Amino acid sequence: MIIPALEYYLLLGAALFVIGLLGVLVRRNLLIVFMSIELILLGANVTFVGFAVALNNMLGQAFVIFSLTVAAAEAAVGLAIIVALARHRETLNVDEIDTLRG
Amino acid sequence: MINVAWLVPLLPFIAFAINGLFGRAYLKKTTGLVANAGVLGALVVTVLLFLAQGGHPEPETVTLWTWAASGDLTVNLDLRVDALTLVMLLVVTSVSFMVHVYSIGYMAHDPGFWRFFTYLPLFVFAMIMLVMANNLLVLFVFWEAVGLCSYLLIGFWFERRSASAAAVKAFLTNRIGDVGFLIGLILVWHVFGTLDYDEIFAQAPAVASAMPGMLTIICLTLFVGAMGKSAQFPLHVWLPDAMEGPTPVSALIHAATMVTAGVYMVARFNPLYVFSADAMIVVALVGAFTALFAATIGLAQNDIKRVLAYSTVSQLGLMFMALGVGAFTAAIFHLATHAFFKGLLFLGSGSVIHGTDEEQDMQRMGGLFGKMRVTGTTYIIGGLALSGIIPLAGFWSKDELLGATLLAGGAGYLLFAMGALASLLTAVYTFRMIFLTFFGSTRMEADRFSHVHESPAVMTIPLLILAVGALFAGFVGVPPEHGLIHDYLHDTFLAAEAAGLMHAPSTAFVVTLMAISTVIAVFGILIAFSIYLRKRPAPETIGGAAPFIHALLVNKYYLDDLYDLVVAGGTRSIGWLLAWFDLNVVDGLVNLVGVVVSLAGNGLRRFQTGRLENYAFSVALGTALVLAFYIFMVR
Amino acid sequence: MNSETLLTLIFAYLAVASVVFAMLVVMMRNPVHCALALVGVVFHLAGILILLRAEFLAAAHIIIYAGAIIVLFLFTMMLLNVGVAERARQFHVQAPLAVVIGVVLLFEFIVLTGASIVVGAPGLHTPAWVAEQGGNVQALGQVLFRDYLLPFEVASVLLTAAVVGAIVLARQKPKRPRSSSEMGVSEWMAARVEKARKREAESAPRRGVTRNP
Repeated sequence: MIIPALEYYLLLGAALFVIGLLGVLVRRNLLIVFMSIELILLGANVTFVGFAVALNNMLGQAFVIFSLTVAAAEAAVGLAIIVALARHRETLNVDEIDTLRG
Repeated sequence: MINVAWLVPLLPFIAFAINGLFGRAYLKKTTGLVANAGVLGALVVTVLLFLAQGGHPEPETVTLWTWAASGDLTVNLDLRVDALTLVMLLVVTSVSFMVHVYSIGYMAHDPGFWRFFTYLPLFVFAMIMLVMANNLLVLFVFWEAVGLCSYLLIGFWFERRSASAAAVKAFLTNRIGDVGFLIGLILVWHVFGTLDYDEIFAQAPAVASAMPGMLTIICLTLFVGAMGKSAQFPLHVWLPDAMEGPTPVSALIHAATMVTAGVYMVARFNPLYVFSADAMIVVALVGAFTALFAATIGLAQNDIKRVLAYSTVSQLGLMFMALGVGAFTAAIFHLATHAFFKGLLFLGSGSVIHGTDEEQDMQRMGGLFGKMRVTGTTYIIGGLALSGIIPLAGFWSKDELLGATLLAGGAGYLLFAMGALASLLTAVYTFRMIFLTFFGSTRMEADRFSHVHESPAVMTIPLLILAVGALFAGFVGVPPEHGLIHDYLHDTFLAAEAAGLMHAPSTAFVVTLMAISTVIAVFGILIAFSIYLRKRPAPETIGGAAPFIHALLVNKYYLDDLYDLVVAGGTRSIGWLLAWFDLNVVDGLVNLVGVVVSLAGNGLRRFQTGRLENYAFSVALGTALVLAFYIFMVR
Repeated sequence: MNSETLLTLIFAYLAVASVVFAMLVVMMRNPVHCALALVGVVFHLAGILILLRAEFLAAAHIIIYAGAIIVLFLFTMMLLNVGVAERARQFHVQAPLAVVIGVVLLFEFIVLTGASIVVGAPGLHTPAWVAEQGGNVQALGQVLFRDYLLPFEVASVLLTAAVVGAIVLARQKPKRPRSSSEMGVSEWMAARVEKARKREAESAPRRGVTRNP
């Protein structure tokens, strides 16, 4: 039994997801794009846990552990790429990195 | 013994593989020995097999493996051993071995020595498999394989333009026949639902009564294949040109073995042919016409090998004539004797060409007998056998097939007349060839004549052995209709007997016929003697008396020119038409496609901005659309 | 005021606050501020998780996001010295269109949620079962280390790979000239030409040859 109803948690997750997606779509700064991706993941996590509790299934919570793992790995590699890119290009604006090759 | 039947084709194949893989770099002249060993092995195994199978061999098959199984169609690679196969195997392997021995001498100085001894065992392998096949499809495969070997060997001296052209001509002409064969094969599959010999033969009576028309069509299409392979009018044009190949090849492939595959095939399918009188009469008429037609051309040719080639066409025609009147045994008998004496004649002509430093024109020979006694003697024996002089090999078999036409009655009398005339002409052109080559005063330049020499022993010994064959091979068919070979092949041609095509001639008939045959042959020889040695009348006077006919004969009835005009010219015209179509219409379409694609690419290129945010936007848009689809369509 | 109302109010606060912080993450100019807003989001979400009785995950979120990931972001900003381009344009040209798509997506999510289409069969892990295990952490441990041990170990491999990858990517390239085996063909040719020119330039005066510039 969860309070309030499952739908509210799902709506919260959806809201975070959409805000994160908008961040990815509108921001020019690569760092903020990455933060927006973290927001998307957080939204997904809330949904997972909400379902897990509502359906009495621990798997949803266990899966969030893996989601966290992915988030950590993504942040580490992604930020390393940003560092390398910033050295190479001297910009962090997404729309200026469009040659599609090194 | 049947269990080692697979050795017969395998040994030549091993020789082929060894020579093909190692011949050029390592074995060189040793290839000759390897090939000879392989073919000799095949001959020995064949003889052992022959002895082991006894006087009345039951048809037996050895299944090597299943070659193809698809739906209802199962093709096993079987080896069939029965009386007909054994006769053919004996002929093929023994003549092959003689030719292989001979070739060591004949090809000794040729740079392509190893290549020659690679192709030749391959041919022997394919021919053996053709004879031993127990399935129409396997037969067809090796039918093509011998055609391939023939192509390779005709074009052996491919640097000569005429040789490569002759090879292509042989190949293409054979293709026409093979199309017929292939159609026949498909029809057999369609009608009989099987390709195995025994199953086809078992169903033949039922099919014959249910759909006789279809059976006739099958027989005729298969016969078209035989016409191509065995050089019957109008597909005979490739065989004379095939003489561009080395002479041992002409002896083995284009006289003794491969060209007889058509005769063998029709004889093998005798249980089908006996049920179709229409197909039989077509076979007989084509054969008889070819026999006469080719013999007349043979009269006017000056190239020693071409005379023999037309003679081969003519003799094959006689065999088909015999097949057509149901005298299958006689045809196979003539096939066997012909293999010996025609092989002998070809090898003899090769010996002459070898001894005269590549001279092939008989008008520039003459008087060679004194220089080449072994070759000359054996050649005359072969010539006598070909002309049908008692008691040589050719006499018995030819006599028998002429008799068979008379016994058939009806159209048989016409066939007999054509066959007898062809026999007369055979004697004339054979002895014209012998007199022009070996007798009279020489027409060679003195210094060239002085260099004429007898061939080495490696070439003359096969000649002697084949001469013995030409002398005595006929006795397997004595007395006529009741000889060894008739007894041996009796079970193979039971269907012919059941169809009432076998006749038991009276002794008086047989003796009369023998007398007639002998008279015909002697008369022919005398004509040749009178014209070409005594010059009364001189050959030129005869040619001058009827210049039109002479020109017709020298130019082979202008058939080659006609084919060139109609077939080659027609093909060329169609080719030009198609080339125009291809260049303008097809290429235009292709280019149009290219232009459209390139334009589309130019348009679509604008979507590939290389910008991350645009791609992410596409992903979001796609997600929204998928969800919308789910909400509005699925739910 | 019963406990249900209280919990609902707490949820309302946490949800609204995390959404507001999330919007700040997306909208603020200075990346450092954005990162701080992200911390706010994570803290409030942790509260939500506690509401859901997922105490372990709440702690894990705070430790990993606030403690590790966001600190990593801040380190990166420090390293790259960002913030100088604050005055530059912050949003893409496609922003209005993107907002439309975002609103449509949100609307679609609401529709789907309101339909409550996803109702599975209740699982075994009831609150009673969780209590029996001794609490949320023990229960999660049971599931994770008994039923999903292999995926867990695979996740550790993923993390190791990420660490190695991050080091390799972010490493400062050594300044030494590359050996010829590492060079491309054109680079190698250029190096050869350069070398030859240098040698020529050195030897030219010695031979006493006057060369045109």
